[in-house]
Order: sequence, then structure tokens, then C-alpha cells
Amino acid sequence: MFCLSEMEEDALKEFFNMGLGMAAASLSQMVNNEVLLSLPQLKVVPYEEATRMLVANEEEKLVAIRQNFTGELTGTALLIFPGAEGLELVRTLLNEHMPLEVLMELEQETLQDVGNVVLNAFLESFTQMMSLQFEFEAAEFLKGSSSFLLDISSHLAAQRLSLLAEADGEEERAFVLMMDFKTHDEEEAQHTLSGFVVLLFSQYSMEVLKRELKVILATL
Amino acid sequence: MSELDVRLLFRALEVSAVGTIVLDPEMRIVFWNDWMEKGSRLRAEQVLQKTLLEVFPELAESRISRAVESALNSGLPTMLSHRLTPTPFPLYTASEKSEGNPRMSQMVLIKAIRDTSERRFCLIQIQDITNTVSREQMLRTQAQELQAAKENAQEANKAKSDFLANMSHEIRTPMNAIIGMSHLALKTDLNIKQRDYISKVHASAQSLLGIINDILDFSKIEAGKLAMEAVPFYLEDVLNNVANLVAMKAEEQGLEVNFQVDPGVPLNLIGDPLRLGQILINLTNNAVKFTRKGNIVVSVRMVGEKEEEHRVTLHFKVEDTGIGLNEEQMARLFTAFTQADSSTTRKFGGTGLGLTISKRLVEMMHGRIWVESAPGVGSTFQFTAVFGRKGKERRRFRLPSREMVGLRVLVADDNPVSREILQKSFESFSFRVTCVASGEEAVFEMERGIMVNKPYQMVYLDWQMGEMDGIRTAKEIGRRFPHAHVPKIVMVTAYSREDVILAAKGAGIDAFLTKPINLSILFETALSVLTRESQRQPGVGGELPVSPRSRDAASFAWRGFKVLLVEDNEINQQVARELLEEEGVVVVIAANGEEAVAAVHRESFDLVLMDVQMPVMDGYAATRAIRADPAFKSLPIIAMTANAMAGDRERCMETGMNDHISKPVHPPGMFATMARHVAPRAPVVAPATMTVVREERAASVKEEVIDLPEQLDGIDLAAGLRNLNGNRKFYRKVLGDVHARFQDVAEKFAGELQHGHRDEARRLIHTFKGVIGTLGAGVLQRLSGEIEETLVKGDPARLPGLIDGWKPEVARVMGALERIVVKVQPVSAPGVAAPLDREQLQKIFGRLSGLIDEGDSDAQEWVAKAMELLAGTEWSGLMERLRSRIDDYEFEMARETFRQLVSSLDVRL
Repeated sequence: MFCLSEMEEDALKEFFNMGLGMAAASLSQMVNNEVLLSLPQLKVVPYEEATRMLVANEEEKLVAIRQNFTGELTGTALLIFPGAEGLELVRTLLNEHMPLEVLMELEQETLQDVGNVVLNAFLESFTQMMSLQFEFEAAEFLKGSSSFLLDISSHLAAQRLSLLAEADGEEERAFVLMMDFKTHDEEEAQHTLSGFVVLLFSQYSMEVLKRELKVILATL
Repeated sequence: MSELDVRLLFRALEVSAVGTIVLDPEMRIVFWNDWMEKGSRLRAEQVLQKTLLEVFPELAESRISRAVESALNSGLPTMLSHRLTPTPFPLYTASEKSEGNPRMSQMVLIKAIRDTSERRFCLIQIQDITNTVSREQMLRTQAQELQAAKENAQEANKAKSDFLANMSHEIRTPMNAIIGMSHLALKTDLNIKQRDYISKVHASAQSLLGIINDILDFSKIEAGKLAMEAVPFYLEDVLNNVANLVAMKAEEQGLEVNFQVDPGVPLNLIGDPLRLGQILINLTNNAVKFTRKGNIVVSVRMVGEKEEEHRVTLHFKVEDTGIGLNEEQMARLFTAFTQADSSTTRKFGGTGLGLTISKRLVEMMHGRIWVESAPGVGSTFQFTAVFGRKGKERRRFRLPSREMVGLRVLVADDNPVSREILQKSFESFSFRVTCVASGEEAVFEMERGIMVNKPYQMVYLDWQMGEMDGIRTAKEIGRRFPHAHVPKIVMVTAYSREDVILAAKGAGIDAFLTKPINLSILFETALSVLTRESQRQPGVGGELPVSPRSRDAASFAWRGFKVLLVEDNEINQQVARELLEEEGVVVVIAANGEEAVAAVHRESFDLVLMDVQMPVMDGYAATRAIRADPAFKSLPIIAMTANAMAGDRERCMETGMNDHISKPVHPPGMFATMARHVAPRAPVVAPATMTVVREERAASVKEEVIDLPEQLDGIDLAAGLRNLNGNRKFYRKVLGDVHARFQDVAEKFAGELQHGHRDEARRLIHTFKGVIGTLGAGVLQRLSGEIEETLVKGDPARLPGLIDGWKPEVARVMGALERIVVKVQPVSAPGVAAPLDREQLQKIFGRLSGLIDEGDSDAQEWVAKAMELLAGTEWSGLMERLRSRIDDYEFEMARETFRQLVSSLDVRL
């Protein structure tokens, strides 16, 4: 089992904390209201556990925004909204009270926009710390069960690079960085936005990440 | 990449349908395609090499500029949705409208791209989504409208249901008063006209209630609020109930209703007995309504059984020989508010809801309903329904001894349908049955049986059979065979039992059965007749056993029971109180729940009848309060409510009540429900209770000490009283009624004969014979019977002689009755008549004379005045006769009576 040292984990948390601050700022600007995000709980867990953490019911369809990244570090960033209540903020933004099943084109786009803002905030803090080069693909809207969403091979398959690279046959084990977060809005509870930010790395990328963390910690 | 390829790609980007901008690392515009030129109204030459913010100063500090920075600095892509950033770029759609161009709705993608030297450039792509936005806006508006409409509809539907529930209550409360009061009124002294009016009010109120119930049921079904119960029940009880309800109506029309249950049909079922009964009653009532003559057969057989699931499918059939239906009518039959055709509606009445309700109910019982019919031949309505089975028990009929198995039974009935039913029924009890179609054949068959040494042990005779009716057959059997060979004789009749019991006096009948015959009763009667020593002693009247039907709630001895009636409405109080008191129940009234709780703590009751909706404290709260005291844990509390919606019953039970009676109160139903919850009284009642009861009873009876003479000429008063259950008040009334109706029977009878109306004459003498027998005028009854018999079948030459012998007896009995009628006039100073107000009399008679001559019904009013004046005098008898003739619009005869009065009173006109 791959694991991070306490120091490494702290460092990661610090990156994400900064990302969180930026995300909160962006969201606040978008809703013209101060949005606070709680401290993230960071966990490095294998696929199975991550699936369990996400939802009790594996069959339940979840809504997620995905941003793949490629380059020296390859993986997938996901913003997963667990259940309908997570979308209250979006509803407020849309000034809508429609059930999720009838989310139409523009609503999907809006969700994608919000997810994009949140993910960018995280990823930006991440990339600014690292000396690694990687590129980001545009945000995409997804719907699926937790097991589908957390399966890195399904994301890799969707990556442009995987079309070029030869499949190495080795079964990819996903390593999942998971944070749950929540927005706070003292006056208006409907501005709550909660969800999971998930980073899925291939085993190889996880090694690269660990190495990079070591470098960062050494320079501090 | 060759020069040509680069130019080609450049051109492709220029004509792309997506707005495309490329910024260099310093945010200067290096590419601006055709689409951008059109949307921004700026040509490429005007913007190239300028920074984005130089071209669009308003974009400073916007999401776009931050996204561009983020792409150039960190390589992060951004997507700007329309919702959150509706018009990021100042772009316009091409529009025909002269008043300027609307701003374009856009979706923007901002991405980082690297050139060959790894420098980050920024690619901006813009899509025009104006159409999508307006389309979605439209859909959203529509969806909102639909949502609002749906909410409105749901609200309206709920309002409708509430309205119905309220209406149900509001309608039923006055209906209770109308039905209850007319029921009570019919038990009081009424003249013929009043009786006619009130019985029509009563019948109309009943049928109105039926219609209201239909409409409520229909609404409940429509609203999906009708729930099927799943309780254990006996199929037989349901059929019994149907028989009781339709028999009277059928009898009025001279129709026979026969019930036929296949031996294989299980009788212990689980389902909704009320709803099953409702369907059967509806179909059978229809059959009666649309049939003028012939038969109605209700049959049940089993068509499927799932042993492991304890479920059976039963097939019910209601066959009639009525007007029938054609194809087109059949097709429309089960639709709401339609009848076979509009003229049918007018002729036969009805809402047409009954079949629709039946159809839904059948569907709820997982069955189907259909009809087979031919115009003029008759209709067969049939349905299937699925029920649960309780236990394996199939039949409740088990002969108590092996000796009875194979017992020989002879059935004589001229109706083939009832013959077949009796045969099948007896066979199902494992008797051996032979059927014949007439009395003569029955006697012949019995002789044959004795000859071959296989005598019959039991004979069932239909009363009404062509040549030789049941009574004559019974007499013939008694006469012809030695005592040892006389079987048990059971008389079967579609007419009222009282008539036939009277007629069959002395014929040696062991038991009587009324059609439609119910299996249990048939079985019980057979057993009781067989196990009893022969009662047969010709000439001895004695107590004749009757079928066990009389052993139901109606004959439950209510005398001395004490009931607390909790009811706020005064009319309803009166209705219930009088119904109960009539049966000898002692009634204490509480006007609300609080009083009820106080009452049960103050004195003890056998049962509480509890209204639910009351002021101060309602029935639910009162029940809970009473039940809270462990002393009243087992006190029967029965709800009495006008709420007929589903769930009311359940709610009553939940609160701790034992049962539920729905208003309007159906008296037999009320007593049946009550009987379920109280133990029959032991013959000896505890002395303490008895005293109380006596006191209260005495108080209520005191005012009406019934004065009956010690003896009456030609009438056995003791026998008459016995016939009327010892009810002196009723007996006195009957005596008066008979006098009023039949004092001129001799004249009437002679008149009918004179005009050749033999049928009318026969009917008259038949009725007279029955009635006079009830009074206890045995001689007159016998003489009348002989005349009837001679009229029906006999030597017409004998008739004048018989009539001559009969007339004096009529006069004797009528004379005696006249004296009693005079005597019972509720008037002062018996014996000594007050001096007549001659002047007044003169005036009234003067007026009456003209009115009677003209046949004006205003005469009634003046007769009443004259009666007041002449009450208690020797003329009151004649007055009574005058009144009844005027009430019957027989002015011709009234004139004659009037003349008698005039001459007797010495009035000058």
C-alpha cells in the first residue's frame, strides 16, 4: 500500500488549503456573497475505500465535473456532488427549483462552470508549487455511479494520450486523494455547496508526486 | 508542415463557425477569425496586435481577463457558462430588427496552447447559444406553467374530496331524520292516506340514500380512495343479506329469486363482504327492476383455486328473464352515467352508476364483469372475483348421524328452477332426492315409494302450485297414508310466512320455509324437523316451528337492556331513542361526550351508542376518556356516525370503540350490530336493575292503558292477542283498522261477483280471510276460506249458499268491532255523550253534502271536523267509515254512508 509520510501529507494539505481559499474567493465573486470553505479532510485511500466513502449506494448516479491532466503528472481531478443537496448552491445560482433529473443543457453547463472554478483553484495552487510540467484538458460534465467515477482506467481511457500511448497491460491501481468541503453561508443556508474533490493518480504518477513532495519539503 | 498546409489551416480557422481568438503570451491578439468580425463588428485589421483589454476595455477585472491570465500563467482551462456569465464579450447577433442588435448569448472556452518554443498562448473559443437559451427559456416557462397547473389540479381534487366528505356528513344527518322519523311514524296510528304518504316518503328517502351512496362511492373510486377490506367472512351471510334485501321487491312483482351455490364452493372466505354484497345487490336489483315475469337466479361456482396461496376464484352469475339488451346497449353498459337507453332511464329510473361501481369493485377484486343478453329473452350478468381462503373447511353441513345419509326427500314445486336448486341443495347434504312438478305427482310418487318399500321421510311442498297447492297436498297426504308412513312435511313459499301459516293451519305442516332459500336455513330446518317428534295432530294449531331465520338479532330479547345514547342532535336523539324503546330498551341520553363520561360513572349501562361529531367533547375523546378507566374496559361502545368515507370505521376502532353504525340508521342493522356486542340476558334479571327498569317502563306506558273489552262477539281475543305477540295497543289498532277497511266487505264482495270480477272477488276474500284470522275470528275465517276455495275450484252452485251463511257472521263480527271502535275513540266521558252542537253540525253537514256530491277531496277536512264533533257518540263508527271512503276516493259509497248519517242524525240539508 502506497502511503505518504506525515510531512508529505501536511504539505499536500497546505497546497489544497491554499486552493480552497482561492476557490472560495472565486465562488464568492460569482454569487456576490461571501462563501467560506471548511478545512479539507485529506485522505489517501485505495479505490475500494474511496468508493465506500463516496456513497453508501453504488447504484446511485452521481453528478461530477472532470478535468484530466497529462504530462509529467498524469491523472484526473474530479469534483463530485454527492446527492441533490450538494447542488443547492447551483440551484441558487440558477434561481431554479427543478429536480435534478431534468437538468437541461444550460444547467449542465453552469454546473460545469462552477466545477471548473473550484477545480482550477485547487489545481492552480497545486501546479504553482511544483516544478512539474503538465497540461489540463477542458472541464467535462459526467454522470455515473461512484464506482465508475472513481475508476481511473475509465478516465484514462477518455484521455487523448491514452489513445496514443500503448496500453501497458498493467492494471492501474488508483490512488485517491479525497477532500470533502463545504461552503458556509451564515444567512442563507441554500448557498451550501458540498462535495468531494478527488484526485486520481496512476501508480506511476503517485511516485512522481511523492518525489516532487520530497523536493519541495527539502527546499523549505 | 508546408506553406500551403499552414495557409489552408489558417483559412479553416477563419471560416470556422466558432468565434476564435488567439492571444500571445503578452495577451496581444494574433488571430481574429471571420466569425469574430461579424459578431464584434470589428475587422481583424482593427484588432490585431492590440491587447484584448485595448480592444474591450470593459473586460478589465472580468472573469475573462482572469481566465486568460490563468491560462497564460498556469495553463489552466476555463469554461464560462451562460448562466453565470451571460454575455462575456460585447458581441451581437445578426438581426433584422432595426432597433439595434441584441447582445449575443455566449459560451466561452479559454485554453492554454503552447507554441513550438513551449511558450503559452491563449485560445479563446466562443459559441453563439442565443437560440438554445431562448428555447430553454420557453421550455422552462412551460414546465413552470405545467407545474402550477398540476398543483392547482391537485388542490382542486383535494377540495373536491373534502367537499364530498363534508357533503356526505351533511346529507346523511337530515336523511337520518327523514328515514328514522318516517319509520317511526309508520308505527303509529295513521289513516290509510297518511300511511300511504309516509310509506312513500320512507321509500323515496331510502332510494335517495341509495343514489347518494352510489355517487359517493363513485367519487371515492374516482379519487382512488376506496379501499378493499380483507376480512374473514361467510359467503352465505353475504348471499343471505342479498336475499333479504331483494326478496321483498321481487315478491311485490311476483318474481322468484333463487340462490344456487355449487357444492364445491368454499364458504369461509377472506375479502370484502360489504363490497361483494354491494355488487350482488346491485345486479340482482337490476334484474328485479327489468324483469316483469319469470325467474331470477343468482348462482355461484368455483372456477379456480390456488391451493398453495389459499386463493380461490369464484364465478357469480345473476340470470333474469327480463327485457334484455341488444349488442349496442351491452357495449355502453359499464360506462358511468349511461343506461341501456334514455327511455329505459325514464321508465325504470336509476342513475346508471351502479354498474360502473360494480365494474370497478370487481376489478379491485381482481376479477372481471360481463354480460350476455338477448332482447326480450333476458340477461345474464356475471363476474369473477378472487378471495382468500380461510381454513380448508368446505361446507358447514355435516349430518349429525350416519342414519341420515341417503335419507329420501321428495320435492314438489312447479317452478323448474327452484326444483333444481332444492335438488342440488339436498344432494349436497347427501340426501337422496326426487323431484316432481305438482301435488298430484307428489302423492303418486309417495305411494310408489311405499309400494317399493322406499318411503320418503321428508317432503318439501311449494305452496303455490297449479291444480293442487301445497296445503291441499299436505292434507291429502295426511288423509291418504297411515300415520306411520306420513313423512315430515315442509312448506316452501315465496309469500310471507304469516299468510301461509294461517292458511295451512291444521294441514299438518312440520315447518315453513320462505324463498329465497338459504342453504344453512334449509339444512337447519331439515335437521330440526327430522330430529323432532312429529307434531302432527290434525286439528291442533299449537306452536308451529318456523325456519331459523327468526332466530336472529330481530328477535333478540332487548327488554330490560340499558343503553346510553350519546347524541347532540335532538332529532337523531328522538329517532334512536324511539327505535330502542320500542324494543323495550331503557335509554339514557347524553348530549355530548362530557355528559356521556359523567353518565357512565353515575350509572351502569349494557352498551353505549356514541355519535362522533359533537360539541364540547367529541365521540373519540369521550371514548378515550371512558376507556381510560379500567372499569369500562369491556363496556361495548358503538359509534353512530354520518361519516361514510373510508377510514372512519378504522378511526373509531383505533379510538377503542367496538363497532360502527352508519347513519341513516337502518333499524334491523342497528340491532344486529348491537346484538354482536352484548350477551343475551339471562331469564332472571338482577333485582336491582329490574326495579329501575320497571319504574322507567311503567312511566312511559302509564298514559296509554289499553282498554280492550273482556270479550267480543265472534272473536277469540286471546287467540288474536297471541297472534300479535300480546301487543294490546297494536291489537286494538288492528281491530279498528279491520273495521274501517272491511265493514262493507259483504257489499264489496257481492259487487265484485255481480260484475263478474271473479279474480278481484277471490283476492278480496283471500285478504279478508287472512286478516280476520289474525284477529282471532275463527268462524268467520273458516267460512271465508270455504268461499275462497269454492271460488278457486269447486262447484259455483254452492256459492250463494255459502255466502248466505257468511254474511250474518260478517255482520256479527263487524258489529262487535264497531262497538270497540266507538269505545276507543280517545274522548271524554265514556258512555254519556256530550250534548251535540246541532248548529255546528248543521253547518258542517251542509258543506259536506256539496263536497261529497262533487267528489271534492276538501271533504276530508270537513269530515275531520264532523268527527271531532261526533267523537265518542254512537255515530263515530259511521263517521270512521265515511272518512275511510273519502280517503279512498270512493265518493259513490261515501254518499251512501253520508245519507245514513244524515237520516240517523236527523240533519236537515
